[in-house]
Amino acid sequence: MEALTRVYNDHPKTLLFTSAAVIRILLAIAWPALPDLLTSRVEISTAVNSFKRLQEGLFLYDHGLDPYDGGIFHQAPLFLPLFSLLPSPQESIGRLISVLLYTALDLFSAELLCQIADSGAATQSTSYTSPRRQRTWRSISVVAIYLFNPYTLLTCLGRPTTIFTTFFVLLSISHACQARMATSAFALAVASYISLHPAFLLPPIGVLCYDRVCLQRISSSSQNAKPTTSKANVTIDQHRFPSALQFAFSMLTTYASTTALLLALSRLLLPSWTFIPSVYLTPLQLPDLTPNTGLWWYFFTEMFEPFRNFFLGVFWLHMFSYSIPLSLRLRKQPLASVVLMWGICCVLEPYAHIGAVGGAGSLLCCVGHVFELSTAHRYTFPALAALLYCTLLGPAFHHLWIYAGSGNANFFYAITLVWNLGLFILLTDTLYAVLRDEWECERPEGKGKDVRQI
Amino acid sequence: MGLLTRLLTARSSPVLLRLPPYLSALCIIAGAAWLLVLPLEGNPRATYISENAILPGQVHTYFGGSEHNVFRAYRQEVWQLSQRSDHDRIAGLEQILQENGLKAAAQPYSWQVAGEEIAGTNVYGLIQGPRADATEAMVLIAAWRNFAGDINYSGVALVLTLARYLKRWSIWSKDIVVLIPDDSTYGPEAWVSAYHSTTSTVTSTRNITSLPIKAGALQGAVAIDYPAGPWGQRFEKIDVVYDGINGALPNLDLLNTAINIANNQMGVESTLHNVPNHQDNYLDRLTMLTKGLITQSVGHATGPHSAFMPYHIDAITLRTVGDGWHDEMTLGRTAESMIRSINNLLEHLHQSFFFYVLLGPYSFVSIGNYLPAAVIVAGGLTVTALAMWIRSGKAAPSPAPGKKQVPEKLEVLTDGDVVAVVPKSELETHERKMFLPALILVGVHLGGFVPLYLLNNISAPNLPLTFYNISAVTLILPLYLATHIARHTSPQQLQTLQSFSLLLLGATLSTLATLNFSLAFLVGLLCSPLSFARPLPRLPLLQFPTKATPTTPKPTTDPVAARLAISLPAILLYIAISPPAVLLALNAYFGKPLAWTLLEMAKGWCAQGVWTSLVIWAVWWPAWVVGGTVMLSGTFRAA
Repeated sequence: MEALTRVYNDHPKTLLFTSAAVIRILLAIAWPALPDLLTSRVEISTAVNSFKRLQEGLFLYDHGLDPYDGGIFHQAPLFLPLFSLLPSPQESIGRLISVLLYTALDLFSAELLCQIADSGAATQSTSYTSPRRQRTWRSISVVAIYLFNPYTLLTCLGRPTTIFTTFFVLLSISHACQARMATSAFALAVASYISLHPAFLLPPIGVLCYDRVCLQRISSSSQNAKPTTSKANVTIDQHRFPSALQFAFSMLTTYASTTALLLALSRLLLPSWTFIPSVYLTPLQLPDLTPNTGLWWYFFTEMFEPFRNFFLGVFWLHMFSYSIPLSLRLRKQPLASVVLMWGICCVLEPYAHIGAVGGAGSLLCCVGHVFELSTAHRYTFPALAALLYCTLLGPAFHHLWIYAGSGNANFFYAITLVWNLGLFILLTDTLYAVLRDEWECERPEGKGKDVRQI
Repeated sequence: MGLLTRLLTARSSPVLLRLPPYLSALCIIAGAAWLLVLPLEGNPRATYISENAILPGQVHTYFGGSEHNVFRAYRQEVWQLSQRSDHDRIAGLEQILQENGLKAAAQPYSWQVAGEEIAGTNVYGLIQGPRADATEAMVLIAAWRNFAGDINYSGVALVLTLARYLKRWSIWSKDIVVLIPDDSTYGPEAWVSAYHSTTSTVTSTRNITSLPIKAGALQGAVAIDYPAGPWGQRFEKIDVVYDGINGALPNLDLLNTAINIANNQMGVESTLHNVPNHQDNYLDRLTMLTKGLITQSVGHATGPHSAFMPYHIDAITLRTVGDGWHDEMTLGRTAESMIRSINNLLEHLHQSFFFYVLLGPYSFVSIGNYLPAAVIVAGGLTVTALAMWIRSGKAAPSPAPGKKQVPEKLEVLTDGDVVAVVPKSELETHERKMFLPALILVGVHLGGFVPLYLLNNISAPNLPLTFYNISAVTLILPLYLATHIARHTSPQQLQTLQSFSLLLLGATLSTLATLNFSLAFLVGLLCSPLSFARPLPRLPLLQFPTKATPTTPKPTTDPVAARLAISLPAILLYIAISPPAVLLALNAYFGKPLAWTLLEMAKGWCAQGVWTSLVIWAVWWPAWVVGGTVMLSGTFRAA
């Protein structure tokens, strides 16, 4: 026990990563049926990320057929050569190897989260320094939340391909935090090549990256100048900053050219362009209405055909409508806008699943320094309790509907509504806290007071 | 928005902070009272047939006349078979079915549970309906041994006679499966699970042969339990048994059909839960409710029909009761009429209720009226969890006396030119340390799987000893945790721990209430005292000597006797609601040997797929341990 404590104190990250990997592998070994069971859960696998559907695509691909012919496989083409390298997951060794691959992916994501949390981007930007920067969560806590929350854990065993999306989004954010524009845009392009909706992160990540680049210039210039006094940023030479327009242009160019490259690569692998409608029109048009944890499927089950396209547009526009306003309003805290936008995407995406929530929830902890505001003034605990209730009730109601036959679709849908409501409350509470953190800086006399509508 | 803001403001009011214990107590009392109110005049609804296609009792039944002679012959035949070896008996039954023109087959099965073998062979035959397209089927069951373990002479004979009789009709739009399982619990379980699986994998504990003959989707099943011997015995009433595994219930329409046919068409009085002379007064309805509650919460099979429920097949058992003037042909005609009704179905039974509590053969309450009872009880736990969370967020009174002398610390905040002076306490939210509580909670919950594993995997003769050992460890564990954890945790962490535990318990019980209402309600009631668990006053008598702590003698205001007076009843109550104590008490109340109960529980978990053990050890037990840890942590707190 003492040795363990010592190891924990010396190398907490090693311990966390090791235990996370061990838990995942042990679960897969001790219950060999568990990964396949989780793969078939609607909460984890959807039409656009299911590991089972990937097998179907792989089968067709390996036999030289167009994998998109069957109408089942809707995932990015580049997964096919990657997964055809692995042995078939029907056998135990193949299953274990696939679990190992996803475990590694989880660990890499955790490492990226650690970098994001360590970068200090959450509390410091060119124009703003949070008064609560002492309260920033330790990166190790963020990592622990990511690696050990049940959503990530179960999703890792369920092996949906959207874990790759989470990974590339985190990669993009972490590179943006390190002011590396090109790699950040590249990673984001890969993420949106896989899942489409990460494209909405382009504005907030662009702002974040630009801000970090500017901050880098400031710190390098202040270092170059001379040892400064405590007030380092008295004057900021705006002319040292790169031109925003130029920056945006180069970022967009990188993003677009990466996307083009990926699509061209995909075309090289496949006999035709059919993958474009199959992969990208599926989330856009929602042909597959298998229940999931999101808000779309039930709505479009009930939809009359003439209104369908209109509401598809409305739903997508709604999701997009947060992207630019958030990055504008939170331009002083660009990481917060990225985090919140990613959270919103995870709730509002057409084929929502709990894996994305696990990732977005952990990312939310990167702005943990403002949580004291949301717990003190908002509904964080009730919202978390509601999520706990939903986590238990969701599978129970799904069971009553599908297997026991004594419930119906409304049971499950009602629970997904509450689930999404809980997530939204968490997001809005965090937004409140982030804004209030800014506001308290301007109006210190308002600290600790309740907000009242006058 | 205005309301929301006001609510947010109100939560810091001192009244609201003091309210939760009362609110929680109110919830528990209201939940318990809710069930007592249900049987009151006016609350129960009269049962009715919701599915119009069923047409119960609308057909003339022709089972009678010469069929009676056939029945008597078969009854003699069954008695003859009962004298032979198992192998010959199976072959004999199969032969009878084949002679009647049915496709017949046998299915051996076995389980290894607690070092004992459950084995047998099911015999079944298929009547292919002349108008059927082999997509739907119904099942007629008579287990060789009924639920009580007696040989079901007349039941099996009746089913054989019916098989012969039904085979000659041309009206069947569904296939009819005639099933004669070896026993009333595991035979049907083996058969129905093999019916719904494409492959059967043999494991060391489970060996179920796959079925050579299958029909379509099963729409309903009727089992007959009539153990009268070879010379017959007339019966008085029909007891309709309906509880499925894990508290699942058949569609209320099927139950109503059985009662309707028995009472109105055949003139046989039907009972539920074997409650005789149901007078439809408050006490009778309450008795019925209680019996239903207990049977459902146990979740074990109650007859051959139970195994069908998890597969979404509505099924009931007709059990003959007493000594009266109804003969076997009446029972046969009842079964015939039921089969005719199921045959009428155009789609799977879905119209009527799946969640109900019966208060009499003709009255019931539906889910909307009874579910609040369990949810309120679970809600009471959540209320306490919320209160504990809020309280853990308030800074504990600082233990260092030096700090108290400063009346109010003021913090000077500057931002550019603006300077503000704010009382420091307003800025402080107590940072909660959640890692240790979460770790303890996860640890205790994982610990619950140890007794679950042991009690389901140890051989039968050792079960009682194992149980006693588990009980002893269970009682010591909170004590151990309290003494070892109380040193490392602050009161605040204990509050967080209790908050998490109660929250999880409340959420789990609410979920369980939708699956098995009775179990959730009973466990909720038994766990409800846990929401009042607070650290007990310190008892110096029990204090372990703590080394290297200069104990400052504190002026004790309350004497040890007063502390004991608080602690002792609390601890006694706490022990009384522990899972082992409750299990032992229930065992003693129902007068069953402990070994038998434990073996049945193991069999239920391993062979029937009953989840009750899981609820006991992985939901109730951890909550109880955590509650005790919090309570006893006060007793052993360092001075």
